[in-house]
Amino acid sequence: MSVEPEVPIVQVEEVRENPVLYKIISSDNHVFTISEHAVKLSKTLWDLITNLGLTAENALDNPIPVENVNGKNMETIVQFCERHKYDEEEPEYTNYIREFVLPEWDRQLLSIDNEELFQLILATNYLDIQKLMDYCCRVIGDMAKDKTPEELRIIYGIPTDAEDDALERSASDSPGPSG
Amino acid sequence: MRDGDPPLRLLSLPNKPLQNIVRFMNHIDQFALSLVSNRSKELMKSINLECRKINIKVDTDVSIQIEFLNGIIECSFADYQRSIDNPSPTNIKAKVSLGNRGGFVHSKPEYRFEEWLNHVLEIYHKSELNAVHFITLLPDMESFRKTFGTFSYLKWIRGVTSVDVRDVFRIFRPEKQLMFAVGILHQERCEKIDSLHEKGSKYVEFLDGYNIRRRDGTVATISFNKRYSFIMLNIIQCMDYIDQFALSLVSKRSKELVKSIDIECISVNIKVDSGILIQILIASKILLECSFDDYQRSIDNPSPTNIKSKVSLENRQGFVHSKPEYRFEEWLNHAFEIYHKSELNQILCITLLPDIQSFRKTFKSCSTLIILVASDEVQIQEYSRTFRPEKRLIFGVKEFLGRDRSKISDHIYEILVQNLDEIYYNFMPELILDDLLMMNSRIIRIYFYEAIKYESMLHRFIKHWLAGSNPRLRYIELESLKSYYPQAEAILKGIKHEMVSKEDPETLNVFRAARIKNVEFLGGYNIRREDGTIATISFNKRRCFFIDGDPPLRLLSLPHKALRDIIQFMNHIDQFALSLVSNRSKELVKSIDIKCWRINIKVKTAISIKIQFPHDTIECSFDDYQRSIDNPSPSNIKSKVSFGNRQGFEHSKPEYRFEEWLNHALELYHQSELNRLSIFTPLPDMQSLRKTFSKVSTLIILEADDEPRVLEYYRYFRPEKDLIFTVEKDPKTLNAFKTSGIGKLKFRGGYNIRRRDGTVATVSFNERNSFV
Repeated sequence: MSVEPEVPIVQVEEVRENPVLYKIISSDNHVFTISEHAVKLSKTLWDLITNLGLTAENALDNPIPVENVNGKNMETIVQFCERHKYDEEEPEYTNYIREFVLPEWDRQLLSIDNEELFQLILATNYLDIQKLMDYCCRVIGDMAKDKTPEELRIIYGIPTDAEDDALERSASDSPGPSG
Repeated sequence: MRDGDPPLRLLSLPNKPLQNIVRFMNHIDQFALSLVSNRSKELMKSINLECRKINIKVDTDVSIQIEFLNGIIECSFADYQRSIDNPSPTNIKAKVSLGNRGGFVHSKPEYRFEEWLNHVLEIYHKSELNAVHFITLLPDMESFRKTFGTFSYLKWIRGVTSVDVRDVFRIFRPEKQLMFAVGILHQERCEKIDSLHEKGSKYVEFLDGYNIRRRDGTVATISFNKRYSFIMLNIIQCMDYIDQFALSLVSKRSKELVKSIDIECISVNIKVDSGILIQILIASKILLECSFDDYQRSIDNPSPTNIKSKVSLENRQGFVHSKPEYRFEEWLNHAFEIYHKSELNQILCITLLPDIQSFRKTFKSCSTLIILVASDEVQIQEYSRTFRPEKRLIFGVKEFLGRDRSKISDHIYEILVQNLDEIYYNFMPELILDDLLMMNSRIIRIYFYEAIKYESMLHRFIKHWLAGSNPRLRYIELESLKSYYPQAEAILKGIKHEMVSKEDPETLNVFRAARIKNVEFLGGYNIRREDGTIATISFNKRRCFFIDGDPPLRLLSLPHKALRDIIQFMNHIDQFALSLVSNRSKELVKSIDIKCWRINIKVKTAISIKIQFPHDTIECSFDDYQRSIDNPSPSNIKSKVSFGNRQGFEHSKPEYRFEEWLNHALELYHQSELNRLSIFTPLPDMQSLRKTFSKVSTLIILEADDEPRVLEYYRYFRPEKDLIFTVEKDPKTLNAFKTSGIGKLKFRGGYNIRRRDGTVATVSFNERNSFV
């Protein structure tokens, strides 16, 4: 991905409809613009915007640095938020939330490699975007369908107990910070 | 009151004593009082008397039943609907009785049946009837319907064979529940009862049923439980799949009823052959099919309404049915709705349809498109564009030869460039490098006739891959008819690689994780991209594989909140599988606090642990438990784990014996003790089984051949709450029941126990009730 600061990567149609735009800089210095409705889906970003006192007038002049999220993930996140910015608020699920159909558009968006999905979840968790978190988790949960425990170990990269024990031993054997 | 005594002037008494007097009366006397005059009726109303329910029973007479905690007032009307000219006469005579005691006969000049009913509703402050029970039907059901407003339950006790169930229910429309069932034949009664028990519905009492048969062959059985309204749902759950489906076609309400039991299927598919078929794969190898001969037969009306469908289950003859408002698409939607599916899983075209555009409109999306015999790539392209499969495209073109590759290249590119999970292309005339570089799907299999300079082409493809091409590609399998076994040395010349053996665990894991089946890995060569991605290239006779390992997800490194959500999105069996991966994964699943209903052990030909959830049961079955005398409970024991109808997986853990599996289940679902131990066939060593758990609530011993055996098991297992067992029926016991005046119970075999003083008691079980 070429780095072109100040050039918005995301410029979807909905953005143009909304006059209030914010700029976000990813950890690898990519710059994204995002509409007010979309950014509200991220609790972290919206809290930040509120705390920084950004307004329609000064928003574009004050880009928000997000050091925990790289450009690739930020691009996915911005696309997601723009897509879902006018969705109705969903009731908060307290217990099992297994009963929803993942929309096709989102399924395509999340058809990415395991490592990318992993990083996206970390980013989503940091930015606190509930809906995207649900969707990512659903995709990962679905990966378990009809698999044996051995297949799950491979897919989810779960170490064996012996490996875990060895790791624990080596951690306790290694000297602490003081030496 | 003495003769000549003036009347008491009850209504002139002060209100408080008046109300007390009425309260001291029997229900039937209160009711009689309410019939005396309007004032007496108002008095009754003012006391706010309550009854539990008001029902109507339609038998030889029509009666209103007023149910109290300790009895039922029945007002029976022999003259209702006896005359055609005046079906509901005024001044109609009512025989009023309470329980078995005699009551009185009364009529009121202005009261028809409907006024009696309103009177009852009014004095007991009910806004609606609870239930209408039909034992026989009335000559004029519609005018009967007009005598009352809404009501909750409609129970049809004796079905009349010539009457269409649907019409009756259209007239009555109960608010809450319709009690009738389809498909349970009388002779299957015992099996059905068994299956009800098997499903954990021990409170269901099945009291025979009545079969009715529609012209289309649909059989409905109407059945009742004396006290429990949920029998319907239980019965539907126990029906054959085809009967559930038949029931869903009877009316909108019956469809809703079937929907409400949440039947699941694996997939809904369409097969296009000489006719078109909707295939509902209910469980592994259980296929329900609806076949339509008349779809796309007429150019003017390709998808007619009232289309006839032949419905069958597992190739056995079923029934033929049509619905006036149903075209093929409505049948398909019906199937989606009943089985709670939102999309088609697969379309299999064995022959091609005349009008694919109109066919496309019958569904929203499909995962897999299979076209077995297309005439050429143009046709595949057209199908692929029209149907837009979301995951897999599998197709075969009739012949290799006689097709000019250069003329069809554009069509091939459009097919290969699709971003799918899998493409299988059979009979490509010639493979060229651009085809390989164009591929955008995760798994690709191509069977082609020839490739010019095959080895050099593969060499160049690998170089492109090393430079970053085909980012989505995970597995490619190439097989050529003409270009035989390509030589690895030629392909990998100048490319850094390392050999891997056919036992290399990492490579085998990659194959397994990518779910590549039916491929024998005979060893190969690993190559590495700059970003660290490793691919394995392998050659197997004519085939050449290239697999790129997706790194694992590192699930346990995700934040805890995400982890919780992920696990909550899984099925119970997947959660269980995850708990078996390692101690950490077990602790993770435990931390979600998943609760099951109960954990039972069933001892039959094999022993199994049953983990029951509200809708389904995980069963872990152990064939090798107590099979060897030397080592009755071996470690690393193999368990077949299944979930409901679905096939699950086989697994063993080196340190796990049967008892560790059991403890694993108890721990995972936070259960402190076993709920039930059911013994159908005894094990060789019951005492050692006893040591596998600490406590059990219920011990069930079925088919025990003698009483001492029951006692022996009881002593071993010492259930905390219930002991249930069965023995043979004998006439003395039946007589004892009769002479003791216990008439209402059905004796279905029981067990004699004898005290030291010689008294004999019989223990018996009747679905819900156990009595001594």
